[in-house]
Amino acid sequence: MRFPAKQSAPEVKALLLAVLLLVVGTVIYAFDRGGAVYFLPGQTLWTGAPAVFGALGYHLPSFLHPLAFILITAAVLRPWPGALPAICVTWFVVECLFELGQMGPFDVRIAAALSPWFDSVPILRTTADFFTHGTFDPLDVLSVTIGTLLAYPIALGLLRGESR
Amino acid sequence: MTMLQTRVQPWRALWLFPVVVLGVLSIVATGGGGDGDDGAIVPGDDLPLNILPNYNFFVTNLSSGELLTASVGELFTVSVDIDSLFPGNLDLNTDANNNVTFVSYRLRRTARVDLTVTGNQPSPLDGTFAVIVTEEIDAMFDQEPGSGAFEVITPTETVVVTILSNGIELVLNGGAPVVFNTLEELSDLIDDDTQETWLRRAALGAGALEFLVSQFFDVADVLDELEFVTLNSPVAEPCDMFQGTPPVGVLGQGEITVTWLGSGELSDGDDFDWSFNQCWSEDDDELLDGTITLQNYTETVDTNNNTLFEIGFGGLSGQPGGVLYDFTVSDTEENQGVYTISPDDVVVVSGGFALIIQQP
Repeated sequence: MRFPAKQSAPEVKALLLAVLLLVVGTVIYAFDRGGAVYFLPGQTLWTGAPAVFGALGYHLPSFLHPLAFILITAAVLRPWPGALPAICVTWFVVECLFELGQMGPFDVRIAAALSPWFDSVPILRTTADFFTHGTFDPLDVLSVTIGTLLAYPIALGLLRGESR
Repeated sequence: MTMLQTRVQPWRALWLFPVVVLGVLSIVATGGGGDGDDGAIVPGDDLPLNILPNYNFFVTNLSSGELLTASVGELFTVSVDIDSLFPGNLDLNTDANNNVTFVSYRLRRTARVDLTVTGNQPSPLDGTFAVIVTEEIDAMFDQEPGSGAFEVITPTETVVVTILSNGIELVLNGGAPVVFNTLEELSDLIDDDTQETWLRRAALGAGALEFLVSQFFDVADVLDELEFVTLNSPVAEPCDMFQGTPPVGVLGQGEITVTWLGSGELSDGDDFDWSFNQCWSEDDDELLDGTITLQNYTETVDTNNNTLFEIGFGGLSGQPGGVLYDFTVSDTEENQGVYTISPDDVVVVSGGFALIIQQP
């Protein structure tokens, strides 16, 4: 008896690529940015040596994040082909809003407006810090833009074809 | 030929929720430089805490809604309503024992307080006005600012106060500038009812900023002593002794006592009681009496490099606690070795604020 050769569904390929991109982003935080993020408590691999990703390490996460999450969202919503532009625009807007939220005077207004309830949820505890501690950087917005623009053809290419 | 599939599988839309949540959380999670655990202090760490030379600071209203209020003699009461977070930045030096010395500070543009003045007798100063920093105010610690600007705004007036290298320039509604040599000279106008109201209001605005900053640094200055206090609580320290006859009913030498109201090790949520028993400061010619309660201590250490990430009382987003005043500041005057206090020079402070110092 012969079984058909197993092939990955397009969604799986897109999700795997997204996970890979997120892993790269995590590695950047672990190696180059002192591990100072919630998901890497005390797990830095930073040794004080020159950054592995150089100056790019400051902006690569802003590039990788929208790219990864556009792929994930598009994979989840497949086969709704008309949704891809909207997915890209939505993630672009979300990423830019968070970046703009780090710019004064929005940073302090957002931080002050947050409910103290956020403090009782461990992963949300850093929300106020995200705005007050983070710094608005136009290069991050540029990175988000490039990531979004690149996500569109990649998602289109990966998710084209019959769904299994 | 490949083609985009158009068959709809609506159940997949359910996955959108966790995807969006994960996406947003993974953005927010990159914001905190803390230990990412529970914001607690790292116990048992033998390494000295690394304190950076520069920190941001934020002052905000108490979550209880009680505003920082100063009753000035028998003249008026001023309440200070901080708009969202009052942001600034400070430079400091740290010695080998992690004792901190403040060097300079900046008040960030857009920092704003709304002041409400209520006179004991009806006064032209009565009412609410805004004080907004429009150009970053720079100052060396314990000195008058060297540059920056703020505006004092009522519905009908805008006074632009610009700090110049050689004085303070005030402009009402774009008119001719009025110049003072120092902020102290400007502050003297507050209780001078022969002066124009807009000048007094601007003086009060400047005084309120100065008062808020000085109260912030008074509390910030005690932060590096709290660890010591927990080991030796209560810690008492004598104040300056009057070199002459003290004011009537005032001790020749008072004291400050700091009491830790927690147990075990210093940890988040701890409270301190900072009592001033007729404590006279010769340098400031001020007599301090009453209690400042420091509630809901918070400290976060970045465990990756053992660096202080955040410290303060209360929180940025309406967490309970902060610095609560039940406190009197009186100016003393000396004449031929006899000290006196004028009733108009007694400021009763109540209410308070929350403060957080955070890694930039």
